[in-house]
Amino acid sequence: MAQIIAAACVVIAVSAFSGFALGSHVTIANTGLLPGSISSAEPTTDDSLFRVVIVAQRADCSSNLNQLAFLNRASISRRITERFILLAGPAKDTLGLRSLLPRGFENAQIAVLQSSQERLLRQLGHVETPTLALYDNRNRLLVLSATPPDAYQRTVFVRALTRLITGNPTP
Amino acid sequence: MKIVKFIPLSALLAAFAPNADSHRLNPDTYEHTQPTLRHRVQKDWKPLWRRGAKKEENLFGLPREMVASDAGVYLADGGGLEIFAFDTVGKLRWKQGRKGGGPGEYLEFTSITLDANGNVAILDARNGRVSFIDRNGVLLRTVTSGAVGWPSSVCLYANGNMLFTVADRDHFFMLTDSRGKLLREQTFPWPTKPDAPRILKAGFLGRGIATNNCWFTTTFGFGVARIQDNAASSTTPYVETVPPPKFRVDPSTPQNKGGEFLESGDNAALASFTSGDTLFVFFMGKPSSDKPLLDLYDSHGKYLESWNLPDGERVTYSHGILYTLVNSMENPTLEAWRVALPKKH
Repeated sequence: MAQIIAAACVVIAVSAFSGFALGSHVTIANTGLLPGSISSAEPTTDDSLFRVVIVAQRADCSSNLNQLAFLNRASISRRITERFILLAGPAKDTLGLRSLLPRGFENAQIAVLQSSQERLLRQLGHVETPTLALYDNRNRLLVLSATPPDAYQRTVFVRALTRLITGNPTP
Repeated sequence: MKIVKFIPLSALLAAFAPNADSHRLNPDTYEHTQPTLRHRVQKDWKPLWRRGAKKEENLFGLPREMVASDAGVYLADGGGLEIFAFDTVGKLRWKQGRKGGGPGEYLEFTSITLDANGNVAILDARNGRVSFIDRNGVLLRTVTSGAVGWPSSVCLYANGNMLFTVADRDHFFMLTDSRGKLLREQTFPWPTKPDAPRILKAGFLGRGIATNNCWFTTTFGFGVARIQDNAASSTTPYVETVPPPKFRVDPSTPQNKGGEFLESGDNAALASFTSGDTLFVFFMGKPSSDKPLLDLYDSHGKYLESWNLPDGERVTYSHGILYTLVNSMENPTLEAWRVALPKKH
């Protein structure tokens, strides 16, 4: 799993207690990261509901993972039916990774990233963690994105995802 | 260039702290030990209004800094690179700004304050300038801060002069005129060891309507200093110790400002602001408080009382309204609360 690398840690400024990480690609693509039990199940037809997969590893900084805490906002959270973690690393890292997860993901199912899934990520241009995958309830991958590199890009990204998930075009 | 020397700390303590004998400063950490002196007033916080994620509004990206006046509250959103103006009942009066280097555009907010007329002044360190916006959201002018380098905070004087803190310089304060011309450099307001950790110099200038005084507050350690336009200063120790945390500086970050805290729960002063003749110093963290805490001082630096606050990473006050800001990724939200100041100073 050495090919999947952890993004550089968020740097915390003394005066601001905030900062951000590296790497951003947004991809619209296919399935392959959902657990087998989900991807083989009969899809539902409610287009307002979504599933989220986070690809992460023990070496990820909690500050990077915390960028995904926006998924816990009430307007978004109620539309996410399931949350999964794919661990890029050995199974023994599960406990350590769980301690890093943002609120809302503490009890998410964690599975080890399979080599086929890693190949898929690489094909789609993603070699960094944490990476977010958003699926609709028909198990179609809508968005695959690394954590945005700065506050401005992250704000644009969060606004776009919020509009996609909530269906609300107004900020 | 005139370098202003400060009065020895011991003399200042004797002059401005009525219980100065009880303060024992550790020269390595600037930590001073004393008994619990805070007078904590329990407030019954009743929210007036809220805007943002807790109201299911996707308004803010990374709201960072704010300042209040009788017109309401101004909030600088470092994510969307916008300035929001809300009135005292929570109505969005205007928003202004976008990413860039042109007029009305921003790259990185480091501070926000007010001039003597109530116009908003936004310090954008990456663009190297201060932008002035009137109460109606109209950009009035921009003034270069290029002579200062990378300023971390700014305070305006009533005559238009601007005092900046500069984190990476030994001459910690820099004064410019209203057009950005450097007038004076000034050292840290109390003695520091040459090899002292930079975090012990971390601090910021207070926000509020411009007067003839600027207030400087340290994040950890000693306390507050009042700096006048003519360079005269006086200092006041915090009413209680603010011990420095274990912090590892990352030398690769700009001005060595970045790094990471090695333990959680540290108590840190994160902002100060003025309203009328009251100075507020805002603290967050444990073990001093399990809730954000606000210390109130009068304009002479005399401690008044402390308030335990609602949750929030930033706070400001004006005209009977306390504004708190939760700037987490989960719920970036601005909230307003009715509160009264102590009756007698």
